[in-house]
Amino acid sequence: MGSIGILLVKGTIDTLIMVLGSLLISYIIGLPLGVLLVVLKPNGLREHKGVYQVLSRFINILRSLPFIILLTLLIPFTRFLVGTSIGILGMMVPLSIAAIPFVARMVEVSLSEVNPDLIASMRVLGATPLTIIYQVYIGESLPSLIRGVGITFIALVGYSAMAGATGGGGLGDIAIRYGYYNYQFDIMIYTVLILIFIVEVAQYLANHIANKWNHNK
Amino acid sequence: MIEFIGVSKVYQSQNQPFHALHNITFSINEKDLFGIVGMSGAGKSTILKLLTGLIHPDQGEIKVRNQSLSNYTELDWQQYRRQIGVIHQGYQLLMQKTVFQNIALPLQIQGCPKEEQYRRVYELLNLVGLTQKAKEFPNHLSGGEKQRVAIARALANQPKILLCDEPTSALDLLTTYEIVSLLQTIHQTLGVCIVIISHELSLIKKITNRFLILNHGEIAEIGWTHSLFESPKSTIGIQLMERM
Repeated sequence: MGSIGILLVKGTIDTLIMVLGSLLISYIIGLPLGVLLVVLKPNGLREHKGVYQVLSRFINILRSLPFIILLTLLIPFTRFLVGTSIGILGMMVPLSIAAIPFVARMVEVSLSEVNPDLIASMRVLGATPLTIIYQVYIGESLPSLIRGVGITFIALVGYSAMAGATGGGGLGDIAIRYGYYNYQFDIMIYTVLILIFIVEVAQYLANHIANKWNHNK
Repeated sequence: MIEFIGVSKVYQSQNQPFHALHNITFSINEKDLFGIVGMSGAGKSTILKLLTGLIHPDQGEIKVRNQSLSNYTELDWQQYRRQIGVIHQGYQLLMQKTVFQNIALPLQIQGCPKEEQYRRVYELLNLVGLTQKAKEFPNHLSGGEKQRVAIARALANQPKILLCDEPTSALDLLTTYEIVSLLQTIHQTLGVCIVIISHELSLIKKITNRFLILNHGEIAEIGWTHSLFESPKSTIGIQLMERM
Protein backbone atom coordinates (compact mmCIF):
# COMPACT_ATOMS: atom_id res chain seq x y z
CA MET A 1 0.00 0.00 0.00
CA GLY A 2 1.35 3.43 -0.94
CA SER A 3 1.62 6.40 1.38
CA ILE A 4 -1.72 7.79 0.15
CA GLY A 5 -3.34 4.44 0.92
CA ILE A 6 -1.90 4.39 4.44
CA LEU A 7 -3.02 7.99 4.95
CA LEU A 8 -6.57 7.20 3.84
CA VAL A 9 -6.82 4.01 5.93
CA LYS A 10 -5.62 5.90 9.02
CA GLY A 11 -8.04 8.74 8.27
CA THR A 12 -10.92 6.30 7.86
CA ILE A 13 -10.09 4.57 11.14
CA ASP A 14 -9.85 7.93 12.93
CA THR A 15 -13.20 9.04 11.49
CA LEU A 16 -14.85 5.77 12.52
CA ILE A 17 -13.45 5.99 16.07
CA MET A 18 -14.63 9.61 16.37
CA VAL A 19 -18.09 8.87 14.98
CA LEU A 20 -18.71 5.57 16.80
CA GLY A 21 -17.40 6.96 20.11
CA SER A 22 -19.61 10.05 19.85
CA LEU A 23 -22.56 7.92 18.73
CA LEU A 24 -22.21 5.75 21.83
CA ILE A 25 -21.92 8.72 24.21
CA SER A 26 -24.79 10.59 22.53
CA TYR A 27 -27.08 7.55 22.93
CA ILE A 28 -26.06 6.95 26.54
CA ILE A 29 -27.31 10.47 27.34
CA GLY A 30 -29.75 11.17 24.48
CA LEU A 31 -31.84 7.99 24.79
CA PRO A 32 -32.88 8.54 28.42
CA LEU A 33 -33.41 12.22 27.61
CA GLY A 34 -35.75 11.30 24.72
CA VAL A 35 -37.63 8.87 26.96
CA LEU A 36 -37.92 11.59 29.60
CA LEU A 37 -39.40 13.98 27.03
CA VAL A 38 -42.11 11.44 26.11
CA VAL A 39 -42.87 10.64 29.74
CA LEU A 40 -43.14 14.31 30.75
CA LYS A 41 -44.95 15.69 27.71
CA PRO A 42 -48.69 16.50 27.85
CA ASN A 43 -50.65 13.23 28.23
CA GLY A 44 -47.41 11.38 29.01
CA LEU A 45 -47.01 8.78 31.74
CA ARG A 46 -45.86 11.44 34.23
CA GLU A 47 -47.01 14.66 32.59
CA HIS A 48 -45.09 17.73 33.81
CA LYS A 49 -45.54 20.75 31.59
CA GLY A 50 -42.87 22.90 33.30
CA VAL A 51 -39.97 20.42 33.21
CA TYR A 52 -40.95 19.32 29.69
CA GLN A 53 -40.89 22.91 28.43
CA VAL A 54 -37.48 23.62 30.01
CA LEU A 55 -35.98 20.40 28.58
CA SER A 56 -37.55 20.95 25.19
CA ARG A 57 -36.30 24.55 24.96
CA PHE A 58 -32.81 23.52 26.05
CA ILE A 59 -32.72 20.88 23.32
CA ASN A 60 -33.96 23.40 20.75
CA ILE A 61 -31.25 25.87 21.73
CA LEU A 62 -28.51 23.24 21.38
CA ARG A 63 -29.93 22.08 18.05
CA SER A 64 -30.16 25.58 16.63
CA LEU A 65 -26.43 26.24 17.07
CA PRO A 66 -24.43 25.55 13.89
CA PHE A 67 -21.91 22.80 14.63
CA ILE A 68 -18.87 24.90 13.77
CA ILE A 69 -19.96 27.56 16.30
CA LEU A 70 -20.77 24.96 18.96
CA LEU A 71 -17.34 23.44 18.40
CA THR A 72 -15.66 26.81 19.02
CA LEU A 73 -17.85 27.65 22.01
CA LEU A 74 -17.04 24.33 23.61
CA ILE A 75 -13.23 24.61 23.35
CA PRO A 76 -12.68 25.60 27.03
CA PHE A 77 -15.12 22.94 28.21
CA THR A 78 -13.52 20.29 25.98
CA ARG A 79 -10.04 21.22 27.29
CA PHE A 80 -11.33 21.00 30.85
CA LEU A 81 -12.96 17.63 30.24
CA VAL A 82 -10.34 15.74 28.17
CA GLY A 83 -7.28 18.00 28.37
CA THR A 84 -7.21 18.91 24.67
CA SER A 85 -9.49 20.47 22.09
CA ILE A 86 -7.92 18.84 19.04
CA GLY A 87 -7.48 15.29 17.80
CA ILE A 88 -9.92 12.44 18.08
CA LEU A 89 -10.53 12.87 21.81
CA GLY A 90 -10.90 16.62 21.52
CA MET A 91 -13.48 16.26 18.77
CA MET A 92 -15.52 13.56 20.46
CA VAL A 93 -16.76 16.07 23.06
CA PRO A 94 -18.38 18.60 20.66
CA LEU A 95 -19.55 15.77 18.39
CA SER A 96 -21.32 14.06 21.30
CA ILE A 97 -22.80 17.33 22.58
CA ALA A 98 -24.07 18.17 19.10
CA ALA A 99 -25.62 14.72 18.73
CA ILE A 100 -27.26 14.43 22.18
CA PRO A 101 -30.20 16.81 21.45
CA PHE A 102 -30.51 15.31 17.96
CA VAL A 103 -30.78 11.80 19.46
CA ALA A 104 -33.19 12.95 22.19
CA ARG A 105 -35.53 14.49 19.60
CA MET A 106 -35.35 11.44 17.35
CA VAL A 107 -36.05 9.08 20.25
CA GLU A 108 -38.98 11.32 21.25
CA VAL A 109 -40.40 11.14 17.71
CA SER A 110 -39.96 7.33 17.53
CA LEU A 111 -41.58 6.74 20.91
CA SER A 112 -44.42 9.13 20.17
CA GLU A 113 -45.46 6.90 17.27
CA VAL A 114 -46.60 4.23 19.76
CA ASN A 115 -50.40 4.05 19.86
CA PRO A 116 -51.63 5.84 23.05
CA ASP A 117 -54.40 3.21 23.40
CA LEU A 118 -51.69 0.57 23.69
CA ILE A 119 -50.13 2.54 26.57
CA ALA A 120 -53.55 2.80 28.24
CA SER A 121 -54.11 -0.95 27.81
CA MET A 122 -50.75 -1.66 29.48
CA ARG A 123 -51.65 0.62 32.39
CA VAL A 124 -54.87 -1.34 32.71
CA LEU A 125 -52.81 -4.54 32.87
CA GLY A 126 -51.20 -3.08 35.99
CA ALA A 127 -47.84 -2.34 34.36
CA THR A 128 -45.55 0.10 36.16
CA PRO A 129 -44.27 3.16 34.23
CA LEU A 130 -40.85 1.49 33.93
CA THR A 131 -42.38 -1.64 32.38
CA ILE A 132 -44.37 0.51 29.97
CA ILE A 133 -41.22 2.42 28.96
CA TYR A 134 -39.19 -0.73 28.43
CA GLN A 135 -41.77 -3.16 27.03
CA VAL A 136 -44.05 -0.83 25.11
CA TYR A 137 -42.33 2.44 24.23
CA ILE A 138 -38.89 1.01 23.49
CA GLY A 139 -40.00 -2.52 22.54
CA GLU A 140 -42.62 -1.39 20.04
CA SER A 141 -40.57 1.37 18.46
CA LEU A 142 -37.32 -0.60 18.22
CA PRO A 143 -37.23 -0.65 14.38
CA SER A 144 -37.74 3.11 14.30
CA LEU A 145 -35.06 3.61 16.99
CA ILE A 146 -32.60 1.52 14.95
CA ARG A 147 -33.27 3.67 11.87
CA GLY A 148 -32.58 6.66 14.11
CA VAL A 149 -29.16 5.24 15.00
CA GLY A 150 -28.38 5.07 11.28
CA ILE A 151 -29.48 8.66 10.71
CA THR A 152 -27.44 9.91 13.69
CA PHE A 153 -24.37 8.00 12.51
CA ILE A 154 -24.63 9.61 9.09
CA ALA A 155 -25.13 13.09 10.60
CA LEU A 156 -22.05 12.50 12.76
CA VAL A 157 -19.99 11.49 9.71
CA GLY A 158 -20.85 14.90 8.24
CA TYR A 159 -20.02 16.71 11.48
CA SER A 160 -16.77 14.76 11.85
CA ALA A 161 -15.60 15.90 8.42
CA MET A 162 -16.24 19.47 9.53
CA ALA A 163 -14.48 18.81 12.83
CA GLY A 164 -11.56 17.33 10.91
CA ALA A 165 -11.07 20.59 9.08
CA THR A 166 -10.53 22.38 12.38
CA GLY A 167 -7.89 20.04 13.75
CA GLY A 168 -9.92 16.97 14.51
CA GLY A 169 -8.13 14.55 12.24
CA GLY A 170 -9.81 11.86 10.16
CA LEU A 171 -11.01 12.07 6.58
CA GLY A 172 -12.17 15.70 6.82
CA ASP A 173 -8.69 16.77 7.87
CA ILE A 174 -7.09 14.84 4.96
CA ALA A 175 -9.54 16.26 2.43
CA ILE A 176 -8.86 19.85 3.50
CA ARG A 177 -5.13 19.56 4.18
CA TYR A 178 -4.08 17.52 1.16
CA GLY A 179 -6.95 18.04 -1.23
CA TYR A 180 -7.76 21.71 -0.75
CA TYR A 181 -4.58 23.39 0.55
CA ASN A 182 -2.11 21.22 -1.45
CA TYR A 183 -4.26 20.97 -4.61
CA GLN A 184 -4.17 17.14 -4.48
CA PHE A 185 -7.69 16.75 -5.80
CA ASP A 186 -7.30 12.98 -6.21
CA ILE A 187 -7.04 12.70 -2.39
CA MET A 188 -10.11 14.88 -2.02
CA ILE A 189 -12.01 12.59 -4.41
CA TYR A 190 -10.84 9.48 -2.52
CA THR A 191 -11.98 10.86 0.82
CA VAL A 192 -15.36 11.78 -0.66
CA LEU A 193 -15.70 8.27 -2.09
CA ILE A 194 -14.82 6.71 1.28
CA LEU A 195 -17.34 8.97 3.04
CA ILE A 196 -20.03 7.98 0.52
CA PHE A 197 -19.17 4.32 1.07
CA ILE A 198 -19.37 4.67 4.89
CA VAL A 199 -22.74 6.43 4.62
CA GLU A 200 -24.13 3.81 2.20
CA VAL A 201 -23.02 0.92 4.44
CA ALA A 202 -24.45 2.60 7.56
CA GLN A 203 -27.78 3.25 5.85
CA TYR A 204 -27.96 -0.29 4.50
CA LEU A 205 -27.14 -1.84 7.89
CA ALA A 206 -29.64 0.35 9.77
CA ASN A 207 -32.43 -0.46 7.30
CA HIS A 208 -31.56 -4.15 7.21
CA ILE A 209 -31.49 -4.57 11.02
CA ALA A 210 -34.62 -2.44 11.46
CA ASN A 211 -36.51 -4.54 8.90
CA LYS A 212 -35.31 -7.76 10.44
CA TRP A 213 -36.56 -6.70 13.86
CA ASN A 214 -39.81 -5.25 12.60
CA HIS A 215 -42.54 -7.86 13.11
CA ASN A 216 -45.32 -5.42 12.35
CA LYS A 217 -45.17 -5.67 8.55
CA MET B 1 -69.58 -7.57 42.33
CA ILE B 2 -69.65 -4.12 40.65
CA GLU B 3 -71.68 -1.18 41.95
CA PHE B 4 -72.11 2.27 40.48
CA ILE B 5 -73.73 4.61 43.02
CA GLY B 6 -74.84 7.99 41.68
CA VAL B 7 -71.85 8.25 39.35
CA SER B 8 -71.41 11.33 37.16
CA LYS B 9 -68.60 12.22 34.78
CA VAL B 10 -68.14 15.47 32.92
CA TYR B 11 -65.51 16.01 30.22
CA GLN B 12 -64.25 19.48 29.37
CA SER B 13 -64.18 19.67 25.61
CA GLN B 14 -63.11 23.02 24.14
CA ASN B 15 -64.27 24.74 27.36
CA GLN B 16 -67.72 23.22 26.87
CA PRO B 17 -68.71 20.69 29.55
CA PHE B 18 -69.90 17.36 28.15
CA HIS B 19 -71.92 15.21 30.54
CA ALA B 20 -70.75 11.69 29.67
CA LEU B 21 -72.52 10.08 32.64
CA HIS B 22 -75.21 11.66 34.78
CA ASN B 23 -76.00 10.23 38.21
CA ILE B 24 -76.11 6.56 37.21
CA THR B 25 -76.74 3.78 39.70
CA PHE B 26 -76.66 0.08 38.85
CA SER B 27 -75.04 -3.13 40.00
CA ILE B 28 -73.63 -6.21 38.29
CA ASN B 29 -73.73 -9.56 40.05
CA GLU B 30 -70.96 -12.11 40.33
CA LYS B 31 -72.64 -14.60 38.00
CA ASP B 32 -73.73 -12.05 35.41
CA LEU B 33 -72.82 -11.94 31.79
CA PHE B 34 -73.78 -8.30 31.64
CA GLY B 35 -74.22 -6.05 28.62
CA ILE B 36 -74.00 -2.28 28.28
CA VAL B 37 -75.58 -0.92 25.11
CA GLY B 38 -76.04 2.52 23.67
CA MET B 39 -75.43 4.74 20.68
CA SER B 40 -72.08 6.45 20.13
CA GLY B 41 -71.47 9.03 22.84
CA ALA B 42 -73.96 7.40 25.23
CA GLY B 43 -71.26 6.89 27.85
CA LYS B 44 -70.40 3.19 27.36
CA SER B 45 -66.63 3.62 27.12
CA THR B 46 -66.68 6.07 30.04
CA ILE B 47 -67.97 3.23 32.23
CA LEU B 48 -65.07 1.03 31.11
CA LYS B 49 -62.52 3.81 31.71
CA LEU B 50 -63.97 4.42 35.18
CA LEU B 51 -63.80 0.73 36.01
CA THR B 52 -60.17 0.53 34.94
CA GLY B 53 -59.17 3.75 36.68
CA LEU B 54 -58.08 5.56 33.53
CA ILE B 55 -60.47 8.32 34.60
CA HIS B 56 -62.24 9.02 37.89
CA PRO B 57 -65.84 10.02 38.62
CA ASP B 58 -66.70 13.64 39.39
CA GLN B 59 -69.50 12.50 41.66
CA GLY B 60 -70.66 9.25 43.18
CA GLU B 61 -68.88 6.06 44.09
CA ILE B 62 -67.82 2.88 42.34
CA LYS B 63 -67.39 -0.33 44.33
CA VAL B 64 -65.81 -3.52 43.06
CA ARG B 65 -66.05 -6.60 45.27
CA ASN B 66 -67.32 -4.35 48.08
CA GLN B 67 -64.25 -2.11 47.90
CA SER B 68 -64.62 1.54 46.98
CA LEU B 69 -62.28 2.68 44.19
CA SER B 70 -62.47 6.29 45.39
CA ASN B 71 -59.39 6.48 47.57
CA TYR B 72 -57.07 4.22 45.61
CA THR B 73 -53.46 5.28 45.34
CA GLU B 74 -51.48 4.59 42.13
CA LEU B 75 -50.12 1.44 43.79
CA ASP B 76 -53.64 0.29 44.76
CA TRP B 77 -54.72 0.81 41.15
CA GLN B 78 -51.80 -1.27 39.88
CA GLN B 79 -52.78 -4.11 42.22
CA TYR B 80 -56.50 -3.80 41.46
CA ARG B 81 -55.87 -3.79 37.71
CA ARG B 82 -53.99 -7.07 38.00
CA GLN B 83 -57.24 -8.64 39.24
CA ILE B 84 -59.40 -7.59 36.31
CA GLY B 85 -59.14 -8.64 32.69
CA VAL B 86 -59.84 -6.20 29.89
CA ILE B 87 -60.39 -6.87 26.20
CA HIS B 88 -59.90 -3.60 24.40
CA GLN B 89 -61.36 -2.37 21.18
CA GLY B 90 -58.77 -2.96 18.44
CA TYR B 91 -57.02 -5.83 20.32
CA GLN B 92 -54.14 -3.65 21.66
CA LEU B 93 -51.51 -6.36 21.30
CA LEU B 94 -47.77 -5.68 21.27
CA MET B 95 -46.88 -6.16 17.62
CA GLN B 96 -43.15 -6.74 18.21
CA LYS B 97 -43.84 -9.60 20.62
CA THR B 98 -44.97 -13.13 19.89
CA VAL B 99 -48.37 -14.52 20.86
CA PHE B 100 -46.67 -16.30 23.79
CA GLN B 101 -44.95 -13.11 24.98
CA ASN B 102 -48.19 -11.11 24.71
CA ILE B 103 -50.11 -13.58 26.86
CA ALA B 104 -47.24 -13.90 29.34
CA LEU B 105 -46.99 -10.13 29.82
CA PRO B 106 -49.53 -9.79 32.68
CA LEU B 107 -47.84 -12.73 34.44
CA GLN B 108 -44.45 -11.12 33.95
CA ILE B 109 -45.80 -7.84 35.36
CA GLN B 110 -47.02 -9.74 38.40
CA GLY B 111 -43.59 -11.32 38.89
CA CYS B 112 -44.74 -14.85 38.19
CA PRO B 113 -41.89 -17.44 37.90
CA LYS B 114 -40.86 -18.47 34.35
CA GLU B 115 -42.06 -22.11 34.61
CA GLU B 116 -45.42 -20.96 35.94
CA GLN B 117 -45.68 -18.43 33.09
CA TYR B 118 -45.00 -21.18 30.56
CA ARG B 119 -47.57 -23.54 32.09
CA ARG B 120 -50.25 -20.85 32.35
CA VAL B 121 -49.71 -19.46 28.83
CA TYR B 122 -50.04 -22.93 27.26
CA GLU B 123 -53.15 -23.58 29.37
CA LEU B 124 -54.67 -20.36 27.97
CA LEU B 125 -53.51 -21.05 24.42
CA ASN B 126 -55.27 -24.38 24.70
CA LEU B 127 -58.42 -22.67 25.99
CA VAL B 128 -58.54 -20.22 23.07
CA GLY B 129 -57.41 -22.85 20.52
CA LEU B 130 -54.13 -21.19 19.50
CA THR B 131 -51.49 -23.63 20.76
CA GLN B 132 -49.94 -23.86 17.29
CA LYS B 133 -49.57 -20.07 17.03
CA ALA B 134 -47.50 -19.48 20.19
CA LYS B 135 -44.43 -18.32 18.28
CA GLU B 136 -46.26 -16.24 15.67
CA PHE B 137 -46.35 -12.46 15.72
CA PRO B 138 -49.79 -10.76 15.92
CA ASN B 139 -49.48 -9.28 12.44
CA HIS B 140 -49.54 -12.79 10.97
CA LEU B 141 -52.86 -13.62 12.66
CA SER B 142 -56.45 -13.11 11.48
CA GLY B 143 -58.76 -10.70 13.33
CA GLY B 144 -60.43 -13.55 15.20
CA GLU B 145 -57.08 -15.01 16.22
CA LYS B 146 -55.88 -11.61 17.47
CA GLN B 147 -59.03 -11.31 19.55
CA ARG B 148 -58.41 -14.80 20.98
CA VAL B 149 -54.91 -13.72 21.99
CA ALA B 150 -56.40 -10.60 23.62
CA ILE B 151 -58.89 -12.80 25.51
CA ALA B 152 -56.12 -15.17 26.63
CA ARG B 153 -54.00 -12.21 27.81
CA ALA B 154 -56.98 -10.77 29.71
CA LEU B 155 -57.45 -14.12 31.48
CA ALA B 156 -53.78 -14.65 32.33
CA ASN B 157 -54.09 -13.35 35.90
CA GLN B 158 -57.20 -15.46 36.55
CA PRO B 159 -59.42 -12.38 36.96
CA LYS B 160 -62.84 -12.49 38.61
CA ILE B 161 -64.09 -9.80 36.20
CA LEU B 162 -63.60 -9.64 32.45
CA LEU B 163 -64.42 -6.32 30.79
CA CYS B 164 -64.92 -6.45 27.01
CA ASP B 165 -65.06 -3.25 24.96
CA GLU B 166 -66.74 -3.92 21.59
CA PRO B 167 -65.17 -7.40 21.41
CA THR B 168 -66.61 -8.31 18.02
CA SER B 169 -66.94 -4.96 16.24
CA ALA B 170 -64.06 -5.67 13.83
CA LEU B 171 -64.96 -9.30 13.14
CA ASP B 172 -67.03 -11.08 10.51
CA LEU B 173 -70.19 -13.01 11.41
CA LEU B 174 -68.58 -16.44 11.69
CA THR B 175 -65.66 -15.19 13.82
CA THR B 176 -68.11 -13.21 15.97
CA TYR B 177 -69.98 -16.46 16.62
CA GLU B 178 -66.71 -18.19 17.61
CA ILE B 179 -65.76 -15.39 20.01
CA VAL B 180 -69.27 -15.36 21.52
CA SER B 181 -69.11 -19.09 22.17
CA LEU B 182 -65.59 -18.71 23.64
CA LEU B 183 -66.79 -15.99 26.04
CA GLN B 184 -69.73 -18.18 27.06
CA THR B 185 -67.36 -21.10 27.73
CA ILE B 186 -65.14 -18.84 29.84
CA HIS B 187 -68.17 -17.61 31.80
CA GLN B 188 -69.42 -21.13 32.46
CA THR B 189 -66.18 -22.98 33.07
CA LEU B 190 -64.13 -20.32 34.86
CA GLY B 191 -67.04 -18.57 36.60
CA VAL B 192 -65.80 -15.15 35.52
CA CYS B 193 -68.20 -12.19 35.67
CA ILE B 194 -68.20 -10.75 32.14
CA VAL B 195 -69.20 -7.21 31.19
CA ILE B 196 -69.65 -6.56 27.49
CA ILE B 197 -69.82 -3.06 26.10
CA SER B 198 -71.25 -3.02 22.62
CA HIS B 199 -73.43 -1.22 20.14
CA GLU B 200 -74.36 -4.57 18.55
CA LEU B 201 -77.73 -5.61 19.98
CA SER B 202 -77.54 -9.03 18.32
CA LEU B 203 -74.39 -9.79 20.34
CA ILE B 204 -76.03 -8.63 23.57
CA LYS B 205 -79.12 -10.74 22.84
CA LYS B 206 -77.04 -13.83 22.10
CA ILE B 207 -74.70 -13.70 25.04
CA THR B 208 -75.88 -11.68 28.07
CA ASN B 209 -78.34 -12.54 30.83
CA ARG B 210 -78.82 -8.90 31.91
CA PHE B 211 -78.08 -5.60 30.24
CA LEU B 212 -78.61 -1.89 30.48
CA ILE B 213 -79.30 0.69 27.81
CA LEU B 214 -77.48 3.99 28.10
CA ASN B 215 -78.79 7.14 26.50
CA HIS B 216 -76.98 10.50 26.72
CA GLY B 217 -75.20 9.42 29.89
CA GLU B 218 -78.30 8.17 31.68
CA ILE B 219 -79.74 4.69 32.17
CA ALA B 220 -82.76 4.35 29.92
CA GLU B 221 -83.48 0.76 30.93
CA ILE B 222 -81.94 -2.11 32.86
CA GLY B 223 -83.13 -5.69 33.29
CA TRP B 224 -83.11 -9.29 32.13
CA THR B 225 -82.13 -9.68 28.51
CA HIS B 226 -85.14 -11.79 27.44
CA SER B 227 -87.70 -9.42 29.00
CA LEU B 228 -86.02 -6.26 27.67
CA PHE B 229 -85.99 -7.71 24.17
CA GLU B 230 -89.62 -8.82 24.48
CA SER B 231 -91.01 -5.56 25.77
CA PRO B 232 -88.67 -2.57 25.81
CA LYS B 233 -90.21 0.36 27.67
CA SER B 234 -87.93 3.32 26.90
CA THR B 235 -88.07 5.20 23.61
CA ILE B 236 -84.39 4.48 22.92
CA GLY B 237 -84.97 0.80 23.78
CA ILE B 238 -87.85 0.57 21.29
CA GLN B 239 -85.76 2.41 18.64
CA LEU B 240 -82.80 0.07 19.13
CA MET B 241 -84.96 -3.09 18.95
CA GLU B 242 -86.61 -1.84 15.77
CA ARG B 243 -83.21 -1.36 14.14
CA MET B 244 -82.16 -4.94 14.85
